[in-house]
Amino acid sequence: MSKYDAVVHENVPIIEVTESVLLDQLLADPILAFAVVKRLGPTAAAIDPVMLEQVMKQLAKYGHLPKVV
Amino acid sequence: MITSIKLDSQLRFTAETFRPFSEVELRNLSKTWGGSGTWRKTGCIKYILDSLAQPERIRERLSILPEMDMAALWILREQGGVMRAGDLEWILRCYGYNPSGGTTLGYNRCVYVPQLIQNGLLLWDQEDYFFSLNSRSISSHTLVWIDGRITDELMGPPTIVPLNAHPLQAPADAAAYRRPSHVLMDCLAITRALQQMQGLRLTQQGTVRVADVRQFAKLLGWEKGATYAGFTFPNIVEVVLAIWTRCHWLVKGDGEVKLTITPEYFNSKPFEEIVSLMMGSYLARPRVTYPHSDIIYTGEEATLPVGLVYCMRALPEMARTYATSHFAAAAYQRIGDYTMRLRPYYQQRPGLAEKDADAEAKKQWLTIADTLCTEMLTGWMYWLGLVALQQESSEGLIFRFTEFGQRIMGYGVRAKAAKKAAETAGPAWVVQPNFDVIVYLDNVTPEQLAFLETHGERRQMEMHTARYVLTRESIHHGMDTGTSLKDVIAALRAGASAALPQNVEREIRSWAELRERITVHPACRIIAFETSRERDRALQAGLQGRLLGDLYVLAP
Repeated sequence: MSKYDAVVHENVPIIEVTESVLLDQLLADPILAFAVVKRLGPTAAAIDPVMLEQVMKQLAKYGHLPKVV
Repeated sequence: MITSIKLDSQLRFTAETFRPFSEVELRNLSKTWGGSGTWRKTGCIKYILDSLAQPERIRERLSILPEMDMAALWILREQGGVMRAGDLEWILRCYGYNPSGGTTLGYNRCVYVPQLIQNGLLLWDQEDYFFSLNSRSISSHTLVWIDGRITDELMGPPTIVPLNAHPLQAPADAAAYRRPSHVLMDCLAITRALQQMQGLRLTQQGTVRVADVRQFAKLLGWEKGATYAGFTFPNIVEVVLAIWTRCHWLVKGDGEVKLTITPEYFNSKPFEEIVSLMMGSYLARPRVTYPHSDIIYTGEEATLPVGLVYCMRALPEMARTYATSHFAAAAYQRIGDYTMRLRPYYQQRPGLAEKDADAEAKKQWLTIADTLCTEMLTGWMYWLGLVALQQESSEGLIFRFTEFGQRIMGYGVRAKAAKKAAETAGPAWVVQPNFDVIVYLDNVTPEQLAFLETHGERRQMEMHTARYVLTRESIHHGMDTGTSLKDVIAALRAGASAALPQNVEREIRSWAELRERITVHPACRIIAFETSRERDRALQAGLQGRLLGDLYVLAP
């Protein structure tokens, strides 16, 4: 069986948006920027699990009600 | 309660269940099914099992059973096929039968149930209790059970000897009652509150934490108790949590009680079935305030309240109006003397036969029965929509069974009533341009109500109508449960039997689009690669997942 140089991260909360500009806007907020552990790509970012609740509150503050899946 | 019986889920007599019997006993059992009584052990077992596999032979057998046996089988069927011997005899007594005949045996022994066993209709929990077919009595705590194929062939309803209670002449138009839709809405609200709280935390003693009880009560507006149409529901939080637990909708885990259902559960089966389950769970141990008495001893706390509810089923006309005082007097005639004889011998009054002592005992019994009836009627039975009530008069609380209550508590009217309910259909609601949804509770189906509870915010509830409001939050919350925009629009249109106001439809569409813009995955598996080349190689080799960036894959 082939082996790959990869690391599996379990139970990581991520935020995903439809357009990269939206993620840029969100990350302009200091709380959201602090909560993001790593931007995974133009439209996705990994969040600190401890900060997830605060992220949801902050999104709601800006009028966003994200889909939770 | 039934875990000690190792049965398959369908409750079937098998060769294994007959193994403890001797050859002579099995010959007698096979004779009850029409066997010759001359076979060896295996032959007898085969004959009995063959008989149970033939519905016409079971029907033939049932057709010659006396009324009390038939009533006993009906009671077992209603209890899921398993119950304690003592409970079976107690319910039979409430139905007007005398299962123990002239025996002087105490409440701890049953003498009628052994006859059903000897007649091949029941078996007992053989691991729990030693019982021989020659025994004259069985412990009242022993579980007895019946093969589901026998109860499947019961043609109803059973004969219940009417109670000697006279209905009131006064019409009951002024009586207050709760519609099934009110009950459903409250069940959904309770489940949603528990869902929101993510279960309840337990103390080290295993009781629910006071802070959680308070929060739960606050979410449902029960901080100061609950009153419905002027009738107080005593201990509503305690009763509701007990019922949710007994229905296995709340399950105890490690330091917490977890919810096992979602609000959609109430949409998954006929609501009457769910209410029957809730009423049955309540009867397993009604949470009532038991008034103290040194005269009445009922063996167990639940015995008298349960008996009173079963006596209500024996009312001559369930649709008529009765006063609790009249009902208690009629129930006394049937079960009063027996419940007083249940006291341990050292508490029994030697002078029970004396008239004065009898009169005092009867007075106390009637007071207690009236109190218990009032508490059960104004509490759980009213909340479930089973009874319509009028404020207390000099004759006590006045009650009658609602149509819904008759279907739940009565034995033969369910199918007919369900058909009637299905025939009534009209617009269930009107959606107004200001996003209000006015619901007609007479027309709305449980499925539609469950939809609105999930996708709207309930603001007001009257006798015949309810008002919901569609908000962005409520629509988003509903869509979180898995419904699509198309489903939401279609369900709203179907309920209104008309097109939606244009602005409402447009706004709902824009809310749905907004919701799609941001997705949060609370816990996912991410695979991080060193290089994009490595990532491509893994994907080509069959790795399942979706690209999130140059180096990351979201694994399913």
